[in-house]
Amino acid sequence: MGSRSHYSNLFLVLHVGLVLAAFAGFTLAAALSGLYLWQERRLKRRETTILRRPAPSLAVLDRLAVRTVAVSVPALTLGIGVGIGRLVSRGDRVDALVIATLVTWVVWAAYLGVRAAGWSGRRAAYLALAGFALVIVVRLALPATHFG
Amino acid sequence: MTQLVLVGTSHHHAPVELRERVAFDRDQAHALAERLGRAVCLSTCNRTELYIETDDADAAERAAVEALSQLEPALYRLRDHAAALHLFRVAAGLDSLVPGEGEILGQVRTAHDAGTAGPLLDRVFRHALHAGRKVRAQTAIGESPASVSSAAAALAEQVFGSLDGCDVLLIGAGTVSEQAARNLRTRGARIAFVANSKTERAQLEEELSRADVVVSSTSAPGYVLDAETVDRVRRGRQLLLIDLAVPRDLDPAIHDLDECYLYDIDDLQAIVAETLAGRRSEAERAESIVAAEAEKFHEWQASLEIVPAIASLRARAEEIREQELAKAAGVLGRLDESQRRAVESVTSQIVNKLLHLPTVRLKQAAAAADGVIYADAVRHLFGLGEDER
Repeated sequence: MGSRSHYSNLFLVLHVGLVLAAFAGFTLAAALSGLYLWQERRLKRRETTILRRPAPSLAVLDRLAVRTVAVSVPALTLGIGVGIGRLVSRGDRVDALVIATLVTWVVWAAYLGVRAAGWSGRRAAYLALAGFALVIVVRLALPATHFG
Repeated sequence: MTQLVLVGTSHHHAPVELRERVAFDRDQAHALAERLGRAVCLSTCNRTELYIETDDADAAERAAVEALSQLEPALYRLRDHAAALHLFRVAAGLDSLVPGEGEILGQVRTAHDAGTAGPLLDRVFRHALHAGRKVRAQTAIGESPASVSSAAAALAEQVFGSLDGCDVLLIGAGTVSEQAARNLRTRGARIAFVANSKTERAQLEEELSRADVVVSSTSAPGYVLDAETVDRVRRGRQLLLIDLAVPRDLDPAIHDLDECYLYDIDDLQAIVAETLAGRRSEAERAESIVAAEAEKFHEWQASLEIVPAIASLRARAEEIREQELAKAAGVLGRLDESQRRAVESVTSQIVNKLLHLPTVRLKQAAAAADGVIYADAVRHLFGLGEDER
C-alpha cells in the first residue's frame, strides 16, 4: 500500500512538473510571438523610430519562439501521458480540464506542424497567441475542477 | 611647466574652400609634427588641427599659426584643459558634421601614430581615444544610421537579424545603391546578383525567388517589379525591398503582400531624420561622459605636480632630521646602541606624524584637480627647491 502511494506521488510530481514546465515554455513562446507581431507591425507601418529604437529582429524572435515550442510540446505530451496513466490506474473520470489540456496540446502541436509546412511567422504568431489563451484557461480552471 | 597648445580649424569655422587649402596626408603630418617638436597633426576632410606639447606655449602657438597661415582668419587657439577637452570631444565624434560618426576615432589614432608626441601629448591622445571608445560603448550615438544607405542595411537587420547568409539582389546600380550594397556586405550579406536592363525577365524572377533583400535603383520610367510578380515568385517568404529610384521601380502594392516590406527613398529619409534626432539626445549623454573623462585627465595632470612635491617635502624633512642628529652626535655618542635606536625611532615618528596629514591632504587636492595650486603652496611654504636656485 505504502509503495503504491509512493509511486502515485512520484507520478503526480512528474505530471505537474512536466505540464508546468511546458506551460512556462508556451508563455515564453507567446511573449516572443507578441514581440514578433509588434515588430512586424512597426515594419509594415514603416515607423520612423524603427532604427532609433531597434528591437530584436523578426528572424531572431521567430527562431526563439519555434525552439521554445519545440521543447515544450514534448514536455506537455509526457506530462499528459503520465496524467492519463494515473487517471486510468485510479479509475477516475476524464474531466473538462483534461479535455481543455488536450485541446491546448493539439493547438501547440499544430503550431509545430504548420511551421514545418512553411507557414509565415506572422500567422504562426497568431496561432501561438491562441495557444496561450488556452494555457490561461487551463491554468484558471485548474483549481476549480482538478482537485476533487 | 609643460603645456598643451592647440591651433586649428574645422567645418564649424571654415568652409570647404578654405579647409581644402591645407590638408596633410600621413607623411606630411609626420613631417610637420617633427618640425614643431613634440606635436600631433590631426588632418581630416573636416578639420586640420595641430596639438603641441611645449614649455613655451606662446612660441609654439606662433609656430603653429605660421604652419597654418592659409587658414588664419578661421583658426582657433586653445590651451591645456580646453585643448584636451576639445580633443576628447573630437575623438567622441561630438564635434563631427554628423554627430557620433565613428570614422574620426580611427583618424585620431592614425594622427597619434604619425605624430611626435611627448609624454603629455601621448597621454592626452590615449585618454581621448579611451573617452571616444567609452562614448561609443555606453551611448547609442554611433549605432543609429545617419545615411539612407546605412539605414537600408540596418532595416535588413531588423528583419533578418544577422545578415550572414542573406542574399541581396541589386537591380540597377547607382551611387546610393552601391553604398547600400557595401553596407549590406560589411554586415555579412552576399550580393547574389546584379541585374541591369539587359537581364532577362526569367532570370530576374529566378534571382528574386532566392533573394532576401532587393535594392533597386534603375532609371526605368515604370515599375520594374509589380506586386503580382513578387507574390507569384515569393510564395510568402520574407522579403525586404529597398526602392532608391525616382521615379519608383517597385510597385507600392508589394508592401501589402504578406511578409513583404517595401521602403522607398522617402521612407528611408524619414527614418534617417528620426535617428539623427535621436543622436542629438544621445549626444547630451556623450557630452557628460566626455566632460568626466576630461576632468579625470585634468586630475592626472594635477597629480603630476603633486607627486614630486610630496616627495621633495618628505626628502626635506628627512634631511633636516639627519642634520640635527648629526649636530647632536657629540651628546648622542654617549648613548648605548639601544638608546640610540630609540632616538632614531622617536625622531622618525615625529617627522612622519607631522607629514602624514599634509601628505594625505595633498593627494586629495590632486584628486580634486586643484593640485597645482597646493603643490606651489607647499613648495613656497617649505622652501622646496630653493637651495638649488
